[in-house]
Amino acid sequence: MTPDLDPDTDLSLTRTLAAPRRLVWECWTRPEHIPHFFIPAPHRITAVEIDLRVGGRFNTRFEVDGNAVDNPGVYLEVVPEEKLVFTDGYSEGWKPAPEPFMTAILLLSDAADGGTTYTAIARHRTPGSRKAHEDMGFHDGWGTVATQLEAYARSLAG
Amino acid sequence: MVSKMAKHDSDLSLLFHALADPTRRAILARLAAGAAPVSGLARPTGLRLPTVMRHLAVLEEAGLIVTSKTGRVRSCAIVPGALAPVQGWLDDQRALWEARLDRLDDYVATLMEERAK
Repeated sequence: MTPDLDPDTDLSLTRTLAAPRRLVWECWTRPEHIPHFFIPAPHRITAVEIDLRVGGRFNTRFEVDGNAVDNPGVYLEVVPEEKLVFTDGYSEGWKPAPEPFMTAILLLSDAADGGTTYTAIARHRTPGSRKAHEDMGFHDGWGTVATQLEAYARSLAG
Repeated sequence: MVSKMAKHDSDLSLLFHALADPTRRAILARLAAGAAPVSGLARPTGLRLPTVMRHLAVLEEAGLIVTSKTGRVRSCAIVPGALAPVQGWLDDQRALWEARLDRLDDYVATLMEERAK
């Protein structure tokens, strides 16, 4: 099942790995694995806390240019070796985040020869969305507007 | 990286904020057809001049338009390419996820080898 994607704010990436689902699932759900892939070098993950249940914490601490950056989050859905959904929109205890940014959805399925196909979907709240709601009248979707205006502007510049 | 992201975010917030208002989008669409004096922008919107000036200030702060004054006439023009960061924001996220999954691929392969031993 793939949710509807909003081309302005959502991403979907699909990969096939020559590794069993169990292992891919383990990499995403065990704290010792996360630091190996979650953020790019030279930045580091210095702490990971995982409580793998709906509403359980998925907290990471990044070290970026010598600064510690905490990224608290929770799991929204946990279907072992099949589906993992987490967000930074809440921290443990369903505490709403001041600036929620994204929900990540990982979907795992079997591929040929014991491999795994997995899809990572990242759904984002746009940086200006809060302001946009306050301003109302934001029905057309900014992507369409942006595209139209950019085309106009380019034709002018051309 | 953090400061760069913060800068990027604040620029984007200005852009989104500017685009979030229907009057400002109407003004932009009008300017996309060519530069116009402030009075010419005010007339079709039916808004009072100070209100239009306030919208123009938001658009200018977001870098979407430039204004210039010739004699007593202030005119406005759209800035080509000003909307590129709006597109760039999602591209940044895509690059981040692509790289993350690349690293995961490598890491899983390493784990497979280690466990096969």
